[in-house]
Amino acid sequence: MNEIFLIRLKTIFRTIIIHDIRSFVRALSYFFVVSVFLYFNYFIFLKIFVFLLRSEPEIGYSIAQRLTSVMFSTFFIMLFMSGIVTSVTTFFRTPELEFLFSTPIKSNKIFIVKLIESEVFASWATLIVSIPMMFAIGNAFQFGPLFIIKSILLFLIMVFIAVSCGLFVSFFLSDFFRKRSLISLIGIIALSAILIFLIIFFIKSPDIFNLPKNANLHEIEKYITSLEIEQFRYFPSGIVIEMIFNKNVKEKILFNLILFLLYFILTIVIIIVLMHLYKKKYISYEKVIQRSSKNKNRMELPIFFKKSKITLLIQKDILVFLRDPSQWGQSATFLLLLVFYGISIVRSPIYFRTPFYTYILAFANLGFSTYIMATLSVRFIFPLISLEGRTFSLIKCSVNIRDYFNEKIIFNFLMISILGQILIVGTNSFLGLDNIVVIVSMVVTFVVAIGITAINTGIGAILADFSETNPSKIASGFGGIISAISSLVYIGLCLGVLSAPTRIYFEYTFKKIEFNNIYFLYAILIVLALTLLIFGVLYWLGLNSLKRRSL
Amino acid sequence: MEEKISLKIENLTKSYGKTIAVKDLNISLEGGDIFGFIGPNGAGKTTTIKCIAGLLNYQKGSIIINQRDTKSFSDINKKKIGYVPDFPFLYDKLTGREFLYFVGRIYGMKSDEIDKKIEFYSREMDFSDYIDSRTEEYSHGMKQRIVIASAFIHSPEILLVDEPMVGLDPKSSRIVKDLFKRVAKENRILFVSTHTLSLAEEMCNKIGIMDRGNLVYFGSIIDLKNKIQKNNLEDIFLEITKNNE
Repeated sequence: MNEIFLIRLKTIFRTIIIHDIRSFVRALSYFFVVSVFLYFNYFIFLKIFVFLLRSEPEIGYSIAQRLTSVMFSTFFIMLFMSGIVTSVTTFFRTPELEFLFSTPIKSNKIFIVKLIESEVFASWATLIVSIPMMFAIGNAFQFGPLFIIKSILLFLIMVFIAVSCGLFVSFFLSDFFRKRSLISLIGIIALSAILIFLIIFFIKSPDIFNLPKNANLHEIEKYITSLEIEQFRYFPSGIVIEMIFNKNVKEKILFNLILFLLYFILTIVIIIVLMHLYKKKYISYEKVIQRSSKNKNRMELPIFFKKSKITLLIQKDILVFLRDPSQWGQSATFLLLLVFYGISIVRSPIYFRTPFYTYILAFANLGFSTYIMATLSVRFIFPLISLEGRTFSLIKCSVNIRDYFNEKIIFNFLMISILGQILIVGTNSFLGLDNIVVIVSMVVTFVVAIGITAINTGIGAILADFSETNPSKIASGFGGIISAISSLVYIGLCLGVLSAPTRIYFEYTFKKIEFNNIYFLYAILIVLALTLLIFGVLYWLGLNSLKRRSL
Repeated sequence: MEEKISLKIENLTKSYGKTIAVKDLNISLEGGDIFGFIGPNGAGKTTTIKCIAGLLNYQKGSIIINQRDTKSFSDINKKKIGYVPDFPFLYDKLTGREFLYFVGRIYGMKSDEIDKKIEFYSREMDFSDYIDSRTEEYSHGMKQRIVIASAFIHSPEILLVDEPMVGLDPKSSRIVKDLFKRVAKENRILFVSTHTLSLAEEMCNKIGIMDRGNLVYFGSIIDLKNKIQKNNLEDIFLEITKNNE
């Protein structure tokens, strides 16, 4: 096992080693971008927490705790989903596995290496957001350095539990992948997701809060504190939040500690069981060869599209996407993620009509939705050009590269835009918001989809890796990290711009002053200008990079 | 008493869902045999090799190496087997030498022993010029030579080689063929799956022809030529597998 770890370390070292001026610039820019991003994250969270604690001292603590609780629940679910997808690839589909299993290395050693890989690949995106957040909490609440160490440690254990749960599910999915056809598998996952949603919704039907509009601050605080119960309190994420914030109640500390320890021990037991099952699972994991369909698909296009190479390429991309288990596996995961997100929204107090709270929720919803769009773009859109692999040479010598790049932009934009609109319209309808807010959210989502598409397609073209066939690895590589960070910074900037008119809107609605929609228009125009600038630059860079690309 | 090297495949059956990839396969080989496993694409050659290498489960039958069933001795048997896959795998950030060291250590070899083997194979397989470059810079043929050397480094008793000649230039082909002949002289078993019929004709003392999961012929090339009354292996192969079209 030491040898496999040694190889991993050598690979990392040799990827980042500075051996010429180009790699020096690359390493320097990488370091700079990551540092700026981490500090930016820390700064934003610190501003939010400090604002809540100093400007609204009566209810700020509860809102901060509630906000952290929502973030942790989202992280936990995302880590769980990410764990499923990543481990299917790392434990069953990597070409290295065939080599390792043909040698006398014990399967449990291969398992441990792959477990560590899965944990890292599945959690890096969450960690670069959450760790600065911990520092911000520690600083804002003045908890001291011990708190930061404790909370990071607890969070890392939560990451381990969440990703391992995903691994547990993926081991069972491996049997599904093997035995089920594509359509039946998608059907099973979709039905399971709906079933889980309905069970949770009906068994734990959300309480209807009906706080009077003239409630005093004490009542508001009581109400906000009560909301914590709604955020997966007995999940590891909920327990970590309890352990971070509620320091003084001894019974609670003991209870949470025992529960958390129980989760941890259970995870270790699951890991040991899976380790023993791994070899059997791996050698049983094989693709089912299906008899060819009688319906011969000649990729015929409707008559008015016949001459268009772009539509032919889109058709090819859709077929390849739908027939690639790692892609539709991720799509199924996305569906589950939406179900959980939907549960959060449905369980939010939609009957609670105080404008301030409802619009905070609407703005947070926009933030989360665009964050989900960005995360998914890095997973789905960024690797698409790299996944052309060796066939890119065929494309380069037969198709105009501009047509090809335009096709990628259109396809990616349609994908992310449709998903984003479904997400934003669906969740906003649960919240019962004003038409103006729904329309603004839709317009913003449309514009942000353009920006996210440009970032992920452009960087995907500039940093394309045609030798890698694993989309998860492409997404978690150097280009993926740059793409993720750029997308998140872009979303942060957009939300920052939009927060100004939103704040004025909240304030005016609260004070019953008439609001002028022109503020929103200005903000959207600024976001649009930023988006067009990013689009123009990355389109030009991406296209030229593909044109110059030698194969 | 020295154990006699042998590989017996008895009634091996492997299916993928409803599709039977290998059906009731029976093959028996002894040390010194160079076995050419030929057949059209999708005949079940790679599946068979992967079953022997312990990379695939099979539904029926047994694979017996040196009188021991591989199902119960799979990890021990791995030291007796060298496997060259159809698509060579290398860690692209390692040099050829580092990769060979890595494989040698996996098989429990000592450093000086690995050094000697690397020295030997880099001379024999003519890769001393690039052995200290990263494998990401190699051509397909260079990679294939390193992968073959890595499968040979621990001196396995049975060598499973899937499509060794794909992408090799004439010089590399000659080097690989010479190596195979030397291995056979050392009384080991060489199990080679190939589409290169001239390779089978030139080197193999036994051949097996697979067609849609069935072994349609097993024996020597001379016997086969006598049986079909044709001199050219290509004509014989096409004659036997013509129903596949």
